[in-house]
Amino acid sequence: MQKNRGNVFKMKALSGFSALFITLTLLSFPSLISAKVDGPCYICHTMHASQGGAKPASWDLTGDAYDSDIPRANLLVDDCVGCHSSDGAETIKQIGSTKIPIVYNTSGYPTQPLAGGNFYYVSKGGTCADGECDEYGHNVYGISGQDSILTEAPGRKNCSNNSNSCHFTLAVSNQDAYEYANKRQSGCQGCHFKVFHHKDNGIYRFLIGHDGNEDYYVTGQEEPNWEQSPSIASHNVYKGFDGPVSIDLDQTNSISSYCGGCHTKFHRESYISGSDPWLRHPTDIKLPQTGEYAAYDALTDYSNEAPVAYTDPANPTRATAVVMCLSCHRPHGSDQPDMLRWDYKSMVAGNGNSGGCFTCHTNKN
Amino acid sequence: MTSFSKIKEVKNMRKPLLLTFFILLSVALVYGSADAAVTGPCSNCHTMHNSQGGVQVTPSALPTQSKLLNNNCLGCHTTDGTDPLANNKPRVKSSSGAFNNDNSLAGGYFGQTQDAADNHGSNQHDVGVGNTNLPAGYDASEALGDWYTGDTSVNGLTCAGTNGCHGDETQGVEDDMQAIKGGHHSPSAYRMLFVNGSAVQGSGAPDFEKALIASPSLDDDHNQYNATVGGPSISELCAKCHSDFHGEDADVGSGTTISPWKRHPTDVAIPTDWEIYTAFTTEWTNDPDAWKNHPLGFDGAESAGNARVICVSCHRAHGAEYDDNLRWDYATQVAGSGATTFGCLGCHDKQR
Repeated sequence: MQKNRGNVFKMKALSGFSALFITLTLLSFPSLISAKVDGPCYICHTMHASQGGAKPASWDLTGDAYDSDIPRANLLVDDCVGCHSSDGAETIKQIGSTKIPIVYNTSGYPTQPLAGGNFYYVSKGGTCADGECDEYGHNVYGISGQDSILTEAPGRKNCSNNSNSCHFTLAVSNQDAYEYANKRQSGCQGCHFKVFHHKDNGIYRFLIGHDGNEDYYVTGQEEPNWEQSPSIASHNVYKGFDGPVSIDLDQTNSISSYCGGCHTKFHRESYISGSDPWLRHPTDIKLPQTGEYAAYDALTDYSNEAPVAYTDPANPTRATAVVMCLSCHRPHGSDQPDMLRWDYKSMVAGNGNSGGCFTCHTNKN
Repeated sequence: MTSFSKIKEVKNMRKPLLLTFFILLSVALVYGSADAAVTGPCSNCHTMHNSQGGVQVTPSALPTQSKLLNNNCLGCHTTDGTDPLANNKPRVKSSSGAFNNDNSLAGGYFGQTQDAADNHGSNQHDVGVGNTNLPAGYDASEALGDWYTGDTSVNGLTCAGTNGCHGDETQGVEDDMQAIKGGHHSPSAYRMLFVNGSAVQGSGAPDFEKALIASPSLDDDHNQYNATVGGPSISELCAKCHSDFHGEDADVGSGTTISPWKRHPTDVAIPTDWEIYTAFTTEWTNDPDAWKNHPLGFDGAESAGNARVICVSCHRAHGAEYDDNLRWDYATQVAGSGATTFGCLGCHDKQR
């Protein structure tokens, strides 16, 4: 009896500790989107594209040469790729108080890629160790040429007004984008359609739709360092939806709905099925709390190999955890084919492995 | 017609007449245009024969000056003291280096030394040093940019005339004094500035903003700059040399007058969702620092709707304490600091 009372006490203590731990963990999540850029204006802007009577030779503080024509729109010293790339290994460039997330390291895949991944491998194109490097990320204008394998966004849904006009590639200039992509926006801004660097407007990572309706955007909680060192206490909290969905981004505001804008057939209920048996791996569905899935609670056992979204990112609970596209993929690119977070070939059922697929599918390892 | 109806008719006519009078008065008050005429003893400035007691009156290094003047522009407008308005004469240079961001006049000041290596020094226009480089942003193919066509191989930038800023360049003379002829005694243009022969409009503070610059207060006088699109505005004056930086050049704004801009625009209206527009009186007109650190020009009376960003919103024409003739240190303009409300961030409130 004494022993039992001791066990009960231990259980209560453990239970209380767990509750405290979980509470502290939740409290330590980024409370609100706060991506507003701060720092000296001159780091990013040049008023007249002229210094000493001539076009500036280089970006003042970094010494990086201007590699293309200025003046640029919005008085910027460089384009998206120019500012967010590095020839070193850093993935956050710090200039004064200004932090610039690096999404393209030109000298090698970084050891600490950010949450969206890195364009290094896809920039190589051609043959990689495991195939074509084009498989390793999105082909984006300024970083890589058009995909040598894919001729359009896989899962692409035809446009309503022109069956041949949308979502073929992001690797053409804006001038050429009309017949290929979103409203004449290609490259980085094919996805990051409006880049509100100086606004905290609740729009996650500048992901807003191109249809002119301001309600079409993604929400979520942004980790201040873009998950350079993700932990249970500090990571992005993505917006999910209790689907599968047959409604639009303006009603879900989910990260997967945004992916579905181009890769519709990988997301919509009409293409993936409404329930098990699934026709395609579902996204924007709740991660079941039963069966093998019950063993994975990203709140207490967060895995960067299989993060989940939540229907309410500000108040994440196990019951509202949602499978999303980014549970498996990194949107910019990764060191694996298909932009996966892990090597798909190493996912071997019944072999005692862990991680990757087996983070959720805990009984299949 | 009865006498009563006549009286009524006269009364009815009074209203439009009074209205017209007040409109004209308002315009006159907004743009007085000309500066005050110079008064005082002739001998303060002129010498009849450049000879006194058999000795040359002009400084020994200077030849005899036209208009019978006893010195050249900088000679008269330089002080060896600290007062930028010594003897009530505007001083644009202190030979003792006493001028700074809080002790100078609206146009700023020239440094003690001028850089002969270029005519766009780091913090001032370099005048009178014979440099012949073309101005930054110069483009002879632009509508206003074909002005700097004087004998650049000899004189470089000067104060006035075909190689300078003051005076009517259409007179086609390099001589500073001839170019500003009448400007001191019968002023017809704001600070003797012209664009293609038309007088730049504006109203200058009687003390050339000395008090405002020393310690900004709403009681201080300030210049009123004209920013009428199509000019002659103060920014069009700048564009005569720096046309690439003004609306003269298509790549300022992608060939349009709308964002996204490629170079900072001038002579364009303030966006209606900015605080200096929505809260014009509190965010701007009642902020004396605004008059000093990020003044606006106006297309008409001072109002949010008439407000325009102009070249001198950021720059001081002669020179300044800070690089690029700026009114403030560009390095202090830090987005997200929450504290800086002048300079760039004085207007760009969303970036504060």
